[in-house]
Amino acid sequence: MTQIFEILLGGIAQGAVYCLIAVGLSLVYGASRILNFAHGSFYSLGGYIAWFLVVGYFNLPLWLAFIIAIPILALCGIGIEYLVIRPLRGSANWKINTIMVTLGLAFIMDNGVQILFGPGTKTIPAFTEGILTLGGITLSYYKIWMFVISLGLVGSLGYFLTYTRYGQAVRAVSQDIQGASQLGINVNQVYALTFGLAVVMTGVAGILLAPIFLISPLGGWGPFLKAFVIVVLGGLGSTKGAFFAAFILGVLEAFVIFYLGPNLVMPAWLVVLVAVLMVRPKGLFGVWEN
Amino acid sequence: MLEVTDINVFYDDFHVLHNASIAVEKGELVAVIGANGHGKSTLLKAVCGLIPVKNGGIIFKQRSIVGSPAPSLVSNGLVYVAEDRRLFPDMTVLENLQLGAFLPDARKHERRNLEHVFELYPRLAERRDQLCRTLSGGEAQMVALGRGLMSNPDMMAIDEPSLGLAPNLTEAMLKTIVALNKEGMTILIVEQSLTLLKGMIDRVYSIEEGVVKTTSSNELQEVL
Repeated sequence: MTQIFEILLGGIAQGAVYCLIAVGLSLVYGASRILNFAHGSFYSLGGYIAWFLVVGYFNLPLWLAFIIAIPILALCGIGIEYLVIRPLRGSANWKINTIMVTLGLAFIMDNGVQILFGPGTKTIPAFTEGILTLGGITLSYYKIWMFVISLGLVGSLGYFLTYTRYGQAVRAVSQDIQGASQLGINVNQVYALTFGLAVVMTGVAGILLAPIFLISPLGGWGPFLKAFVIVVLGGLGSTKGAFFAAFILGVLEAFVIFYLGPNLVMPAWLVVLVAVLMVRPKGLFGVWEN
Repeated sequence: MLEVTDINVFYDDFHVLHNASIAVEKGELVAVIGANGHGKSTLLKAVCGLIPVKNGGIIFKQRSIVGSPAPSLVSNGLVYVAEDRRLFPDMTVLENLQLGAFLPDARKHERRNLEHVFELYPRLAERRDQLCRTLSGGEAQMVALGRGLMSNPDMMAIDEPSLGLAPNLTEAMLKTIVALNKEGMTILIVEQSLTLLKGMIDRVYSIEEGVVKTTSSNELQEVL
C-alpha cells in the first residue's frame, strides 16, 4: 500500500514538471496557433544554460542560475517570435511554414549546443538531497521541490491568465483575434509575450529535470513528444486541459515504469490518448474539433 | 468629427469602394444603407483601420488616420462594433465588457462606463457571470455594443446591429442606439433598412455597387 502511495506521489511530482513543459506549448498554440517544434530544444537550452553557469564555467549556486537563466530564456522566446515567426504570419500557408521553420530552428539549436558543448550528456547536481519519510512513505526532497516550483510557476500562469487584465487579453486573443484587436489589444505583443512565457517554462523544466534525466543535444525531443501528447489529450490550446492531462499521464507513467518497465511508457500514453480521442475528439477540455 | 474623402478599397484585384466620401459631425447619427454585398461594411471597416485603404483621405478629430492600426484608433476614440459581434465566447459577459476598457484611458472611466452599460441593458447585469457562448443573439448584440461603450469612445461605428435579430429585438436595439445618440454619442451606423430609425437620423448615405451617394431629404423620405 505504501508502495502505491510512493508511486502515486512520484508520478504527481513528475506530472507537475510535464505540466510546465506542456502548458507553454498549449499556451502558444492557443494564442497564436503556432505549433512550436523547437519547444523541446528550448527545454534543452534551459538545461545547458544552467549547466554552463553551475558546472561548466562559473560554479554559481543553482538558485542564482535560475535567476540568470529566466530572463535569458524570456529574451530568446520573444526574440525568436519577433525575428523568425512574425515575418511569416499572415502569408500563404503560414501555419505549415511556422512548423517547418521551428523544426529547422530546433535542428540549428540542437547542433549549436553540440558544437559548443560536445555530444556527451551533462548533469547538474541536485540542489537538495535527502529523503523525507512520512508514515512509511519515502520521497526525495528534490522531487518535493520539483513539484513545488513547477506548480508555483503553473499556478502563477493560471492566476495571470484568469485574474489580470493582460491575462484576459491573452485569452481574448486566443478566442477572437479580430475582436481583440478591435478593442485596442496589441495582438503582436500578446504573441511575443506568450512565446516568451512558454520558453521560460519549458527551460525551467529542463533545469529541474537535469539532475534526473541528464542534458544532451537531442534530450529535448522526448519531453517535447510527451508534451505534445499531453496537449492533444488535454485539448489543443487549452491550458487547463494540459494541466490535468499532465498529471494523469505523469501518474500513469509512474505506475507503468514500476509494473511494466520504462519502455512501455510511451505505448501506454498513446493507448490512453487514442482511447480518449475516440470518446472525445476535442480532447479533455478542448474547444476545437481539429 | 469624421471626414472621409474619395477612398478606394480593393479586395485583391476587386475594386470594392469607388471614391467613397462621407462626413459625420459631432453628435450626429449618420446612416449608411444599401443592399448586401455593395460595400457598406467594407466602408466601415476601412474607416476603422481593419482593412487597408488604397488611396483617399480619412480625417478623424482633425487628424489623418489613414493606415493607422485599429488599436491606435481605439485610443483615439473611434470604436468599431462588428456585425458578427466578435465576442469572446468562453469568457463571461463581465470579462467581455471589462476587455472593452483594456486601454489605459478607457480604464480610468471603467466603473462609470460599466454602470452606464448596465443601465442601458439591465439584462447584461443579470447575466454578468454567464459565458458569452450561451447568450441569445439579442444579448450578444448588447454585449457587443456595451463592450464598444466600455472603450469610452467619442464615436461609434456600428455595423448592422439588427443582423440576425427578430424584429422586436431589432427595435429595442435601435432604440438604445438612438438613446445613446441623444446622450451625445456620435454614431455612424450601417443598416439595410431604416424604417425603424425614421425621424432620428441626421443624414443618410446610400451605397450601390461601391459608389456612395448622398441622399437628399426628399429621397430620404422615399427611402424611409
